[in-house]
Amino acid sequence: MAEKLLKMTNICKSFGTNKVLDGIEIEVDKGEVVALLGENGAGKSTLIKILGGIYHADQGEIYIDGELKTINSVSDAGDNGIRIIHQEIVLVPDRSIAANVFLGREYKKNGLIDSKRMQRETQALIDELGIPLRANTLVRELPLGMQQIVEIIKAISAEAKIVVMDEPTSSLSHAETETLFGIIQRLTKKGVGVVYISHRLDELFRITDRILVIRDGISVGNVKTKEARREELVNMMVGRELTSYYTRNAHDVGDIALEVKDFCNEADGISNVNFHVRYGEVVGFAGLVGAKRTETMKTIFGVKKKTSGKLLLDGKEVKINKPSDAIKQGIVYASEDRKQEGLVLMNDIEFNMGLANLDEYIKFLHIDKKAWGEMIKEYKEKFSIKITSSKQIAGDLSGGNQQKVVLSKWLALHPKVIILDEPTRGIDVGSKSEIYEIIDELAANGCAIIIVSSELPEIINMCNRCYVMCEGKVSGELKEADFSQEAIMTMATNRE
Amino acid sequence: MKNMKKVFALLLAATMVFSLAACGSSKSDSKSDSSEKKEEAKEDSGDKVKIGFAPYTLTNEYFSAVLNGVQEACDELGYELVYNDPQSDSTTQAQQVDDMIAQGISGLVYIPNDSANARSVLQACKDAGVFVINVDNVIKEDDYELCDGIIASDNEGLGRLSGEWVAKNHPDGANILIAHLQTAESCVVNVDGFWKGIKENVKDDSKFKEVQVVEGGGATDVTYKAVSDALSAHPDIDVIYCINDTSALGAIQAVEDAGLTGKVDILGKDAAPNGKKAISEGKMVQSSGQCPSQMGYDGVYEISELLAGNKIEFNVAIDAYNVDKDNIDDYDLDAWDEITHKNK
Amino acid sequence: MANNKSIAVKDSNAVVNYFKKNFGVILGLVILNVIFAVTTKNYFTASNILTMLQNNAVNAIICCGMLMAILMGQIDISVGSTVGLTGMVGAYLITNLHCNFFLALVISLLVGLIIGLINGFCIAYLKIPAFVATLATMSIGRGVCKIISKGISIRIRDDAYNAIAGTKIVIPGTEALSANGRVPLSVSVILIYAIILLALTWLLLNKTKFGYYIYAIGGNETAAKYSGIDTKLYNLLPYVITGGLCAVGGIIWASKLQGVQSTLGESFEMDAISAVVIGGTSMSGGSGTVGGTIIGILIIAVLSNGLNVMGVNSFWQDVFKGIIIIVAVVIDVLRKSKKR
Repeated sequence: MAEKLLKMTNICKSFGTNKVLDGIEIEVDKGEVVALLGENGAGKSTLIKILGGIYHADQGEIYIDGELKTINSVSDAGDNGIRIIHQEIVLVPDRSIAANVFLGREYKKNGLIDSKRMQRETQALIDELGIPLRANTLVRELPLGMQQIVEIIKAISAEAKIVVMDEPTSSLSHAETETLFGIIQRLTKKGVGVVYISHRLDELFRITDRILVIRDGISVGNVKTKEARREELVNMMVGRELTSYYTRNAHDVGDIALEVKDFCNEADGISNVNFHVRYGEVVGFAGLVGAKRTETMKTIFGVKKKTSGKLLLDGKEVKINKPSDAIKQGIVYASEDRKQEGLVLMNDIEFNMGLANLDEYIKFLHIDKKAWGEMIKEYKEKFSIKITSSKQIAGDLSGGNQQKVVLSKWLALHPKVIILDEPTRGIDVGSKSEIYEIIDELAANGCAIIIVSSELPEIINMCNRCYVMCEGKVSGELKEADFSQEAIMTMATNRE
Repeated sequence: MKNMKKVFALLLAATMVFSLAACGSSKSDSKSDSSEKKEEAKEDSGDKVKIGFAPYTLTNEYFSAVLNGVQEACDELGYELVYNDPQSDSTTQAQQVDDMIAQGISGLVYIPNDSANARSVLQACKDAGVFVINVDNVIKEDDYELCDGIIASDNEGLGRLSGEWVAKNHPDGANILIAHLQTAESCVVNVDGFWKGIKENVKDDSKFKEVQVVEGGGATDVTYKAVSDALSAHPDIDVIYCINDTSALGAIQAVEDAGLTGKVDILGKDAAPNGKKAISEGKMVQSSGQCPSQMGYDGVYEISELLAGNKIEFNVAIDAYNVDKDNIDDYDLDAWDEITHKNK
Repeated sequence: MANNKSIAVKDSNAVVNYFKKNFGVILGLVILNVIFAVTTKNYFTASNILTMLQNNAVNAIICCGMLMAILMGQIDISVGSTVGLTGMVGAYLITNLHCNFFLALVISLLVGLIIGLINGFCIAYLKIPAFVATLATMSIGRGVCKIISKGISIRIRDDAYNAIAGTKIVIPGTEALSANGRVPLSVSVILIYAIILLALTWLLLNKTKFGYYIYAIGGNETAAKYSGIDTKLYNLLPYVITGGLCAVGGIIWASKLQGVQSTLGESFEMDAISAVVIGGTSMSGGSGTVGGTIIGILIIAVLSNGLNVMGVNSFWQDVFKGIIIIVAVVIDVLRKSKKR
């Protein structure tokens, strides 16, 4: 039998006393797509970073084509044909696609850069992959999703044996995701092994051959995708039976809390948005990437400027020019981008939880540590936030805990309307389920909730009503009884 | 936001206009605001001889005094004066001299920013037939051929006068602190002269000890800090010799703070207005006077001689003079040096 | 991720914490002191230490503002020029215009605040990078200073004005400790100004919303904005405060030296930035303390005084300062990467 393309055995890695990986095994065949599935903090990224030469394993061996290799640096990994595509985009925006693809290994002719040849080869590769791009386009001019694709092109342009993709679809639109899947298929035909990391189970079922589940640094399952069942995978990941993934109790819906009338923001291409949300109601916003849902919410919150339209809170018009105006009115917005827009990562939890409400805790030169501490304690218990101290640095927390800190910050203000933008993005299944519980409880307490989500099941299972947006307009509204993935997708692609 | 940008753009434009206007007025006296005057000036400038003045900085009162002398001579002779402030930058100074040549100057009073880099400026003047009188900061000897005359202070003599004062007033020896400006060649010569002045006037120079040299940068605040540190280290200092009066003011304050007023003699250099005031108040004991205004004044007169086809003495050293409490009343405390007028 | 326990377990003892946090720089300060005390005769004397502290008091005052600017991830290189200009304005008003003492003070202070306002407005509202904006105001300030003075230094002969920084508090019975053994030691009032302003800055950064906002903006401006903080206003205010502090510095120097030269304050920004950075403040913003900055100021003070007392040429002092900055930043980087 042929040697495995990649074999990592008994990989162990500790940070201080914290054992992150404990004897992980992974094998990848030529032309095989292996999914790496696990909650945040399960050890996926550590494993990938060891393969990529960023971290050094305490124990264990890496074999490539049956040969024992030592990978001590990123360039070692590169020499062995290992390409890692990280979530963040690290391209030079003001250079062409070709220049980015060949960055650091430019062709030279007579001592000068041979840009024609680089462009030719890049274009050949783009065409081979069937992507509608020109090699001389500046990266800055591409939409975010396409930039991600360029990142992938860059990774595979040099001879690649093993390609690792870390949450590649998180910023891709539907069409771009299809392009990506096309690329993966072409790669596997050429015999390249792919390691694919994603939280989106649907994707794993579509394109992977095998799924490796890890939890707390150990392998807990290695199943063929064809034979895998969704519930089984989730249970393996969280290590317990999730009786009900979503929490949804029936409760009363009250009066209209927030009403948005003829809302326009020309700069962002938002036109004539109308919707409302009632107290105790959970309203979803579905749509594809580029539907301008986030932009709409940011305009309501006062981060972006509206050009026309009205906001009615409790039937009365309110003027919101900046976030502090919105917060004063009781409208808060928990951003989709926790790290950039939600938290001050280098500061502690206390700091972050109190940041939006310092008026409450600081009165001139007196800091009311007691009230502040009690608030933190209340939310820590309520949301079972896993922290050892309120002085723990926010950047060190897992995604789920970070999201809970952000939610606590806003809920401590007792808002009337809370806008949750992708509340469960990048969060492990266990925390997800807990966040759904929090949302349900909030609604039960009469809070008006808006959820912007790209995960249709989330909208279908959590919302009373949902609006679908397409290219800056509301293209449809659905009541709970009419919810279905097909109905939403039809509206989301309804370009009039 | 758009409006804000507009406002900003307007502000910027206004600032530029303002600053251009400011530059213009400082460059040449002929450029006045009113158009009438301008025309007058134009007609005048047809006959008026233009004289250029190229100091290496004007943000120093010493050079302002040179400028005063140059201006006064030009007024007397009916010349038009053109000058710039290169702010201690050799390249800028060279460009400004080129501009002056283009404006048609007949002679240049030149204080090179860096004597080692003066050759290109001198050559440019020579090529354009512009007479150059080098004042104050003397050019290198091998560049003498390109220059028409030199007027300089006797830097060694300046130091020597101060040295003599110390020798006379501290016959039994003294601990001496030097507040230096080590990057200036003239100051190095100056301090050498100071020691010569002591050694030539005492029998036993071993009792005169240089306890420390501190860098005062020729500035009050820097000298203040450096001298106060040095006084901590050497409470037995008797004499502080400063390379100019400006830095001496810092030394005075440092001595006062250390509670040593009256116990330490402070000597300055230049006999600048501030220095003379300090002497009259008894805070400073001596300052060797230079004649910056006279130097500028004489420079212009030498050019006038050359223009008239007369010969001049190539190298003129302007003597230093001693200012101390005994003769301070003879001097005008508000001026630098009094110009000895030629045509009166 | 691993060892946040050291951060998590916060000791209740603030002093112990302070030493733990600033261990590297405190050790550096102690080592420098030991070296100078051993090698240089008159270094470790009460009078020299007082002189040293007094000579660096204005730097400490400027550092209060510089710390805020750097905490926000920005910089203010116009501080030295503002010191010069405000000092010059005060001197000009008093000496040339025979202006009332209080009026001169108020106008000098206003000039400082206005420069700060211009800086802040350009940076916060016009989004001009801080380095560029303050570079511009530095140039403008220095230029105006020279225009006012015409390059000539201005002497101040107003007793009230000169008493602002000239006042000393004499400690009776300390004659024996002084440099010459004749006059008792005295503490300059400048030192007291500096201590008060440092204390106020500490209060401002640690006990007010303003301080929390500064740290939040420096740590993550977007998150701060989304938390309802008026980030533009809080970007502007620290510059205004810095301008005011520079004016205080300018008035002090003018009063102390009883006159102002148009070069006053040149390269003051270097000492201030050095002290703040040596004190462990991150140039990218968000982290740094008044306590650390004080150590940074002391290191700069000890270094320049010590080398002067030792008799080392001032050109070498610049070299040593540079080396210390590199060492301090390397320690900072190492400490951060260790956390990872």
